[in-house]
Amino acid sequence: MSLMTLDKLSVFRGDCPVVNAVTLALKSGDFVGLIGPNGAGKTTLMRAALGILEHTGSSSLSVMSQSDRAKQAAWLPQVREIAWGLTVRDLVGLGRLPFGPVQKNDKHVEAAIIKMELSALSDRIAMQLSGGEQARVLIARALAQDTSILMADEPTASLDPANQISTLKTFSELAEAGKGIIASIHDLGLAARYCTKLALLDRGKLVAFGPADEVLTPDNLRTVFSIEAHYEKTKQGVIFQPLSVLKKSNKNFDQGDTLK
Amino acid sequence: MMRLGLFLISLVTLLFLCSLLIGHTQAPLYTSLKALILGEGPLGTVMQDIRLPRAILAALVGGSLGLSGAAMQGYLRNPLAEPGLIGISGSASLGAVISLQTGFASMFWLALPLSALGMSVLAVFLIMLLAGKQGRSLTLILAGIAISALAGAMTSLVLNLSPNPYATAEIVFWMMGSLADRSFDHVWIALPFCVVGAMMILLLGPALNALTLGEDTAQTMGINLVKTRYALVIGVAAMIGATTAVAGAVGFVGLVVPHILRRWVKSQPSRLMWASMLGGAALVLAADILVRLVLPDRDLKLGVVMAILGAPLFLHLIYKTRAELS
Repeated sequence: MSLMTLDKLSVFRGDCPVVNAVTLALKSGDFVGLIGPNGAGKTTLMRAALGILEHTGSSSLSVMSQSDRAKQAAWLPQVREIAWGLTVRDLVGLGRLPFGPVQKNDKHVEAAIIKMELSALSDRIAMQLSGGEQARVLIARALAQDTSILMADEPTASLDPANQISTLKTFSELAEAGKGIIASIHDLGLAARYCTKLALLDRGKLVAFGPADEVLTPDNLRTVFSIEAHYEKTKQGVIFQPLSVLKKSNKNFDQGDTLK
Repeated sequence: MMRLGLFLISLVTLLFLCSLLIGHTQAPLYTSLKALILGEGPLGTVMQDIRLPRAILAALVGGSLGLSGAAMQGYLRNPLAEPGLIGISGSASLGAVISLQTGFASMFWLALPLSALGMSVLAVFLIMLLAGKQGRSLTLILAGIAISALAGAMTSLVLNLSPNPYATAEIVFWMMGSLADRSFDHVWIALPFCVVGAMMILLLGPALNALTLGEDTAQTMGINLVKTRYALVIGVAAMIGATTAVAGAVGFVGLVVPHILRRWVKSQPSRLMWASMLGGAALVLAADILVRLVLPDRDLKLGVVMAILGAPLFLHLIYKTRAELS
């Protein structure tokens, strides 16, 4: 079942296309890893798809009304913003806002707290937790929204290895349960192991979309990332390790990943 | 949470009664209340035409300032935000000052508040024009700062060029903010604006809660940022324009009250608005009682007392916050 379709979605900064005619379909059960170098347009693509950034072309989400969209797709931005000293439970409860006044002991909130292993922290002030714990709280907030689509911008950034793995495992379980997930991920090894599909962006264009072994080809790695890597299918899943940087790099790495 | 609500409501009620009973003419509780209801004799006139409107205005002004402060802080996600930030109180003051200077204020009793309100409306249009269509908060702050600075400069200009020292003194005293010698006419001017403004702002509860997670996330949770900003600016402007028009500029309430009450509502922006509305009413009622008790014959100004009370309170809060952070 198709959850979201993007058709020739483009975002312009001035005359320069930051996202260039991306066409993509997200199906139920997909866990799409959005990969690409810094400045490839990953964040911009997701924000445009969600309809919070002006764009041309179409996204099936952005044509919905804002309140319908909030019931269809949840967004987890990279910046972990928490303004006030709310408790973990109240913060996770914010995920229920699109569905009217937040009820006490809402089952979605409790389920999200348990899923992200936050039960012991549920009465603590979220702001005072460690960065990794805050990341889990914000993921729980997005889960509490209980939407069929979840988009996450670098959900594993600044997490320790155990938390990175368990976050991606949670996402892949959610996808198995029928949701559609898009997450931008810089660690290609983790992306190759946990995502069902990879979408490779290069300077705003979608250059490859499919299973990891079709996307992480030596050719794509060279032209897009300017790296060489080891790729092996083992009994414990895919092992992917970047090995060296190839000389040629005439690309601009410091464009910044986000477009506000 | 319920207990905090009950406590604040009883506090406001108690202070409201005190405000009715304390003043130049002293009378026992029973006699005063009887005079208030029946309106008989000179005490009846004092109660019905002087004390009652004054107490109502104190609650109205305080409630508006507290609520606007909590809303501004919630919207901007900044504990230092206050209602004056978007330039409405400055503009309302400018309107009043111009009317005092030109003598328009003495032509009919509504002239001063109407000038103040008119200038607030003008300021709202200017802010909306400057802040742009996108609904982001940063441009709103910048526009507000620009308007505040402009209104402040124009007010100084009027004082600077004022040829009449009496008018200058009148202006300076007016700007200190006061609730003395107000009548029900003032209540009727301010009340509709305050009620409509408060309703617009209180409906923003879910939006402000969602903004805890930032503007991007709030948008994907179904919050329309553009509508939210319109409602916020118009609601705050209605309340602050109207209260400044009838009472002058009273500072610190919108800044301090949300600060004090935040911990008691578990930092939830929506609940903080209700609590700050009641807390602001209580604080201004208390300060207005103090004005009458401390120097009854010297016409001590409410805004002055508020600042003298507010500044140390704020310093104490900074000290406490610093201790919590370390």
